[in-house]
Amino acid sequence: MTEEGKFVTPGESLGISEEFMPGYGTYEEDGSIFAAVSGTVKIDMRDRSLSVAPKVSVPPEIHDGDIIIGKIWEMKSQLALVDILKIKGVERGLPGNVRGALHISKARAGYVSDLSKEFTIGDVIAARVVDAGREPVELTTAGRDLGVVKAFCSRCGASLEPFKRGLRCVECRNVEPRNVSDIYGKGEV
Amino acid sequence: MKKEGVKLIENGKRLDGRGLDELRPIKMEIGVLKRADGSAYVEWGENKIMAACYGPREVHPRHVEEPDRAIVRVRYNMAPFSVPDRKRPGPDRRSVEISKVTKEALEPVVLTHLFPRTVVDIFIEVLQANAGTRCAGITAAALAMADAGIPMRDLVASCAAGKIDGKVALDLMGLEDNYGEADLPVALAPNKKQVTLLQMDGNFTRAEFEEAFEKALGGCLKVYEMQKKTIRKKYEV
Repeated sequence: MTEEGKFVTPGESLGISEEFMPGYGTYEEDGSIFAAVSGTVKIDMRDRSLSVAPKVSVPPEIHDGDIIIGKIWEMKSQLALVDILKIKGVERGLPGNVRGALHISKARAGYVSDLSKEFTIGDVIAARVVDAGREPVELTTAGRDLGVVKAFCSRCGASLEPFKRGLRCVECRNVEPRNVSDIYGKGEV
Repeated sequence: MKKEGVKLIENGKRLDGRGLDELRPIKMEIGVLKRADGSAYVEWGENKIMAACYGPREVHPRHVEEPDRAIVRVRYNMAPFSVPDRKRPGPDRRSVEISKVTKEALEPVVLTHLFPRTVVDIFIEVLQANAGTRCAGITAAALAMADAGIPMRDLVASCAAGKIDGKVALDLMGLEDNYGEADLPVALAPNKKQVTLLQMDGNFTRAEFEEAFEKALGGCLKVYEMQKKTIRKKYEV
């Protein structure tokens, strides 16, 4: 068995399966546990698990409470379906296509009667992850920084700017109702 | 392959002064590119090779993705200035083959089931070539993948052995490759003791083959130790 804090590279043997459960950054094969990423060994004697705390950059994972940036790709009466593009503040892209769902009850802190007045297909939104364990990932936009961060006019396709509590087209002056984030148009991702 | 009139071994030493069991000097660096998810640079004798790794990321074109696992794609490419006579840029038969065998040398160690519907892209750029570029490329690519934090069963180390002047020698350089009789590149997942690449150019007798194979495996293990040291140097503490 290896000691806590030892630096390991992929393929190095860490322990045996009878003794420990394989945790993050490890894998089990032929009754033994091996490192899958480069980092330091962590031994948890409470749940008897072996894991590797990575020292290299690893493919990002979505966790509860993360703020994500996504694009609405489908609207239903009670649900907005979101293509999750990235985790806010994490430069590295997500491994593949991750889908999210935003229920009407989680669009705002208060009551929402019509979800189509909150979002439209193509809107780029910031949302908080409520439950990352589900598929699609459960999201909420209740919060000042959350909601639409960039959108385009449904009539002419030009850029929209904040106007009163919704958005207005810079070209055709068309006013559209939206759940607008405080960081709308600031390019903070 | 065999050309007469060049003596490759004199007094038990090779033309560059190495013994029969000696590797060329190898220098490895990891995390050299900012924009790639992982990268590595390897100087192996006169070979200079840059490798970059991206992913796991969305697959384009879509129809090549696998619903239950990640795929691995490799592009091996030689710079026009990597060889004495300008190499015509773009993929040719040789580099398409090397891309394929490199992919097959690396894919078995990636824990692909963790990232369904994605791709791990690897780019190997040969900046300067002097025999043994596929081995150096595989070595560099494995480092780039480790740098990108891609979950792997093992690293992959690679090294070749060949036959010059009727004797089996480790890690042929350009001149020896051109005038020698055979070359045997091997890639190894060292902890798993699994060979992921085995090619042969030229002819060995059965005994020579076994000797060359053992020598190449020994070379792989030396390369593996260097790989580990390189990762440790960059990321420990």
